[in-house]
Amino acid sequence: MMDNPKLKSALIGGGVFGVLAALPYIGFLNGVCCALYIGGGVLAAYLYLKEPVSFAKKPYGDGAVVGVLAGVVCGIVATVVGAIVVALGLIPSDASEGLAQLEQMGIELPAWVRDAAGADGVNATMIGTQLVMNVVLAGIFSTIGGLVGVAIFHKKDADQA
Amino acid sequence: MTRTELQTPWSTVLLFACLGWLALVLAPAVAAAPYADLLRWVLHPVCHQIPERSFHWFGEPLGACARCTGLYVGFTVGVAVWPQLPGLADKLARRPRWVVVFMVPLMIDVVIANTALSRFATGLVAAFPVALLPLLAIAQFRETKEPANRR
Repeated sequence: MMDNPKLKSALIGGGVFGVLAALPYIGFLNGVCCALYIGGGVLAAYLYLKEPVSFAKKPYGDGAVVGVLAGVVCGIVATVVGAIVVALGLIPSDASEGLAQLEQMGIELPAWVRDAAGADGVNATMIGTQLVMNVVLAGIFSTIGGLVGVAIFHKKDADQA
Repeated sequence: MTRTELQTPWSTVLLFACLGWLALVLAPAVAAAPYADLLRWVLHPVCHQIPERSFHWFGEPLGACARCTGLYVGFTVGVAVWPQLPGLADKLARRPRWVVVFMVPLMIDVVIANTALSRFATGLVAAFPVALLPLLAIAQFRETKEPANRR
């Protein structure tokens, strides 16, 4: 499996930035224009370009594919590590503060919304909801990261080789 | 680089996806209370959403800050406009590292005293050239598919 250079790059890029996105304080960097998800795509593209593979035909196409894969990995890792971090009590669950504010305003939320937001701690609904959200969002932004990574690191000479 | 290479059915799909994303950013300002919060929650992993740093519409903050809104608008405008500028697109495609140069004003704006307008404008300038990259990716996918289809 690790012979596939795209997958290998995506696993490393997405894995590293997925862990960073889930960590307390460091994860807030994602609030700065989604820096961590984009960074995962850039790192994956950089690693892929270092691989001794033919890159002549479609560097941007490959960069987009590597970016999408990195985003999927990033989303899965961020969800799993995030759930562990919340379960350990290192940070409060994602939306508990916002939910408390809504309840103070007298807005009664259905049980599934509370579950999905992780108001009462880690549960399957919360993990499932966040998995879908993280994979979609990280997939979008890491794809852009992968394309930017190709724009920065791709050497034209490699095309002629 | 020609207009037809950049203007493809998939680039139109991308443009509509970008418009959908912009609608998602605008929607929390006009949606009713519980739905607005739900929409903001969907976007919270990718933006800090601080109300003081966001544009307001109908007195309500948008789903993303002014800088992110600028980035999204710049990207969407780029996807729509790059196919109309094939000459300029060709120049940027030959020197793709220039996309980083367009990000410099945004980076400077992050560390100096800034306004909502400067955050929006630098975001827009940073994202506009980046929008060419997915169009190039789509063009390259088509290039490699078409010879296979002709066989």
